Amino acid sequence: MFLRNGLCALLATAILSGPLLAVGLGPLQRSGVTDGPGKIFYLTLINPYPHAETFEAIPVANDSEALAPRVTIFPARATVRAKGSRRLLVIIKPLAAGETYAFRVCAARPPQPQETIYARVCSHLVARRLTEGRPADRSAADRG
Amino acid sequence: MMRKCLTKLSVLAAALGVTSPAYAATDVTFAATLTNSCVLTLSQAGSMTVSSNGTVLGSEQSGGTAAILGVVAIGSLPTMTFAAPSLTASPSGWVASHTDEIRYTSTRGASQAYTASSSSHALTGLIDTFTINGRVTSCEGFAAGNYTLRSVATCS
Repeated sequence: MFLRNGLCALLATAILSGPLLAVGLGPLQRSGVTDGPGKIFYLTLINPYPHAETFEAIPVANDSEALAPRVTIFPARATVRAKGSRRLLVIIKPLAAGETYAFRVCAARPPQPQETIYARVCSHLVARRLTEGRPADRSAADRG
Repeated sequence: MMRKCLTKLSVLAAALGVTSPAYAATDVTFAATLTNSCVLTLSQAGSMTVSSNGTVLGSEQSGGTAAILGVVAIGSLPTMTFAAPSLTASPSGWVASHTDEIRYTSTRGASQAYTASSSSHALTGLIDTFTINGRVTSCEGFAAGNYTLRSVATCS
C-alpha cells in the first residue's frame, strides 16, 4: 500500500512537473518576395509545458551558427502561457535590390547549466528583393 | 371535446416554440487550424557513470541512463540534427585529453553509431522518439567532480 502510494505520488510529480525541456516553432520554412528594402515574416512559437515558460528566438546564419545580421525578432525573448503559442515578428532590413537573403530563426528555452541535450527548433527563411522597376509577385507563399 | 383539447395543446406548443425534432436539427462542427511546426520534448535527461576500468564515462555504463527526446511535427517531415557533443562542465584542474561522442536510435529507424561529429537524420514520419546515449573517453581517467556532456538537437 505504502509502495503504491509512493509510486502514485512519484507519477503525479512527474506528470505535474511536465517535460524536462520542450519547445515548438512553425512554420519550418518560409520564403517571400518584396519590392522594398524590408521584409516581414510571422512565426509561431509554441510552449508545450503545462506552465508559462520563457523562450528565446535567435537569428542564425544558414550554414553556420553565426548570428544572422540585419534581422530583428520581436519579441526576441517571450514568455508564453501554458500549452499556448505566441506570434513572432521577424523583420529583415535592409535588403539590396535583387538580393536574396537566407537565414534561420531558432527558438529554444534559455540554456540551463546541467542540460545534456539543448533542444531547439529552427525555421528556414528566405527573403528576396526584386530588382528596381519590377512589381512584386505577391503570391500566397509571399505573405510570410 | 377531445378535438378541442388537442387544438388548444397545439396552440400552446406553437406559443412555446416547441417544434418537431426534424425542424430542430443543426450541425455540430469541430474546427481546427494546424500550423506547420515541430515540437521537441525531452522527457528524460541522460546521466553518465564511469566504467570499471575508469576510462569511459558514459550513459551506457552500469547505472547510467540515456536521454529521451520526442519529436512531433505537423505538416512536413523535418530533419533532426545533432551537433558535435562537447563537455560543458568538468572539474577544474582536469585537463586530460578526451573524446566526446553520442549515438542515437529512433523508433522510426534512425541509427547513428557513436560519433564525435555532427550528424543528422531526415524523419520518415511526423512522430518519432530518439534515444540518445553519450560517452566521454579518456585514457588518463577522470577527476572527481561534475561533468556535463551536451549536444544541441535541432529540428528544422
